[in-house]
Amino acid sequence: MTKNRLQSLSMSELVAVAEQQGIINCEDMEREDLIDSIIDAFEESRLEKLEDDNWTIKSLCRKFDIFQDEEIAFEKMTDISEHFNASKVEILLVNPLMAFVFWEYGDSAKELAQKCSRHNHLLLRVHEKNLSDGKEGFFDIPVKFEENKWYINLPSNGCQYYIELVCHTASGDKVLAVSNKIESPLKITRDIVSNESINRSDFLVLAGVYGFYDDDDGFGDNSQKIVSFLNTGSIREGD
Amino acid sequence: MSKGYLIFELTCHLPFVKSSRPGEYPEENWLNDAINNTYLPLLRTLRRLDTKSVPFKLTFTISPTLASMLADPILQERFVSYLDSRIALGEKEVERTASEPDKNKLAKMYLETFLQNKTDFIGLYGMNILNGFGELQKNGKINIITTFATHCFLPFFQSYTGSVEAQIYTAIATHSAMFNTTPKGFWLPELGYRQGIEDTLGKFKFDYFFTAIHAFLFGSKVPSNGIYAPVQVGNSGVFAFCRDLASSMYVLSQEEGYPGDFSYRNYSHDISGELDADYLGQDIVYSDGSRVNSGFKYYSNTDRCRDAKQIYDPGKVDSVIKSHAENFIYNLKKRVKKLLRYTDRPPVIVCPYDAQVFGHWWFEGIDWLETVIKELASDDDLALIYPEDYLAKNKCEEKIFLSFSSCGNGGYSGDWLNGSNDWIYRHIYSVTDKMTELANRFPDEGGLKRRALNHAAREALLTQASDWPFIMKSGIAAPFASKQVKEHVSNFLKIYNDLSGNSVDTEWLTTIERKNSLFPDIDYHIFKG
Repeated sequence: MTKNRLQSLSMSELVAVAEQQGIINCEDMEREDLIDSIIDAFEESRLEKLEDDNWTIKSLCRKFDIFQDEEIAFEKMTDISEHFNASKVEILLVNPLMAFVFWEYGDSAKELAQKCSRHNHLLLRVHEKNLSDGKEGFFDIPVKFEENKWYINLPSNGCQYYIELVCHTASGDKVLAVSNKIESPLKITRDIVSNESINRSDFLVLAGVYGFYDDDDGFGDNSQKIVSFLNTGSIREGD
Repeated sequence: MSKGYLIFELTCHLPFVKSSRPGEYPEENWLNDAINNTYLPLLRTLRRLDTKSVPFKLTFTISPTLASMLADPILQERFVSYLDSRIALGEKEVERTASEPDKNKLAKMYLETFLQNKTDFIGLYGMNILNGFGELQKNGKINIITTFATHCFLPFFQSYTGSVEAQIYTAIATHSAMFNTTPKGFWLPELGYRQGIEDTLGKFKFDYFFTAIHAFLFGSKVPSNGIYAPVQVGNSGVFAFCRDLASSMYVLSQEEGYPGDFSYRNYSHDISGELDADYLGQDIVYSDGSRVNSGFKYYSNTDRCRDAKQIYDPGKVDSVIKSHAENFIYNLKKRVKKLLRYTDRPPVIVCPYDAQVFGHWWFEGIDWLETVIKELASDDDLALIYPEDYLAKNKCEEKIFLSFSSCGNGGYSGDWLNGSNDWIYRHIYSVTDKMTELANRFPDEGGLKRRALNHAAREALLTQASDWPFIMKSGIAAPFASKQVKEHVSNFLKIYNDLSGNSVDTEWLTTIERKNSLFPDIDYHIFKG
């Protein structure tokens, strides 16, 4: 963000930008101080974002980064006015430990869902099936009528999951919608490393990551999941 | 015979962006910068190597959206305007920096490049640089493959097989129309892999695709040659090649890779951040005050220890480029030597890079690539190869089921699905469902309705681009990305609602067809499933 651009904005626009950047008490600040704070906030947020990214993602970001000034959205863009005909629930895999679930109610289901929600009887029923031993089970997550999305933790790897959007009523459970099925990937590195046919150092060479462990080669850490798998045999959330 | 092989895959992709009138979207400069900074200089280099009979084999992915923009006469005209504005600025810069010899030399260098690019673009390629890529392919110097029509992130469309097939069908049609060939290889955008795509790719006669490391390592078993030989994916008959992580680092990392060298030019410092709007002109400072890069950059990467900006000196970088090219080859050969103790065939190291790393961000990257190619031309141990040639030379009978993976942070889907962008998916899936409904509800339409249905199919595909959620998460041009998704969804819904009311808004349709003018031969029946 250039100082020039910010100096061209009115005080109320600056306050709006500052609020978007999470700067507190911005209405009481002097104009020049406010501009400096906004510049600092933009830089901080840019560096934070870059820190999280791996090389590939950084390289992809760079081709879009042709601006000296970030685009500022002063007005909230109009939401898409869309009518969803039928109840629907969908599950998407974020990573082996987390999925994103969203849902919609069809016209006929809205009243029932609203009523169940008041009694904590509107549920996301998460079905789990272990793909190696075939064992099945489920757990429920109560949701509010006003909500339409959740991020859920997946308790196990190597399992198939799907979701039912359920109204729990006195006369029994009414399923409003059933989602697609997803599979959480197996966490198998430990099995590989302990496998007699291949040892850890051989595995690292064949995986092309041996350099990351050889100090002589001067490689640093990388943010690929592979490293945390290899180090701990499990995924560290947030890697 | 070489002891090891190297596959260079250069991905050329941008999302489809075309405004109704010139100067409306600064984001159109994504394309202009890509043509100016990467594609024209890269083509110049490859043509020069070809003329000098230096052997090389590079695999290019040219995405259908990028190809469509490169072939679009309106965007071609706008690129000429872009060049003209930079040439005019360059002439002013040569004058302005007259008293600063180091900067003046650079200003003249940039001006010369803009002029050369204009000559090449108009004179050599007839405004369409796809002709340049096509000619190199015809000469056997490059191999062009394709990707999903609008670069969708596959793992999120697993349940929408009809839509995935529509993406592939449109990609092949676009590729065939642009290059008169059928692609044998397929690039999975963001290396996003989910089980089952191999069967679909097999159905469309593709031979191979590429994946991230953990697709191979966390699949049904560790391949006997690790990531250094392709594997047959399940029973599909389609092969997967795996990218090498370390060679990515050499080229992509600012901190540990070559591009961060202090003698190389710095990408961020551009005169557009420093000079007056009147001086820079309206093609660089937009009416809303936002500024895009001008291309005039005078500083080298700053050595934090010296804490002072240094003027970039192109005369100093030749030896650095050479040493970096030699280091790259040395490291890969060292790797091959080590790998030969483990593999039962010459290992293949797969190096996929976004093409815009070269020239655009890493200014000296194209010269580095040229030096690598020249060095490899006389190397007995390591050679460039096409994926299909490696498959033909080496029997790859090992069958593996691969694992869900991508090149994103953490290796999965988090960059394309998080709090900043998760709102888009309910709309994208709804549009996809409704498009399938339209294709089935109108099995045999002609005339105006057919035009509307075909355009609905275009908009449905455009909503699915992986770029928009990625940009929303990155924070760069995030409001624009939101606007694009909303616009494509709204365009689709207007057609859907109009057709439900048995009407078509002809004037609006004509306008929107001109704006989102890609895939001219699209047939909405591809969504029928």
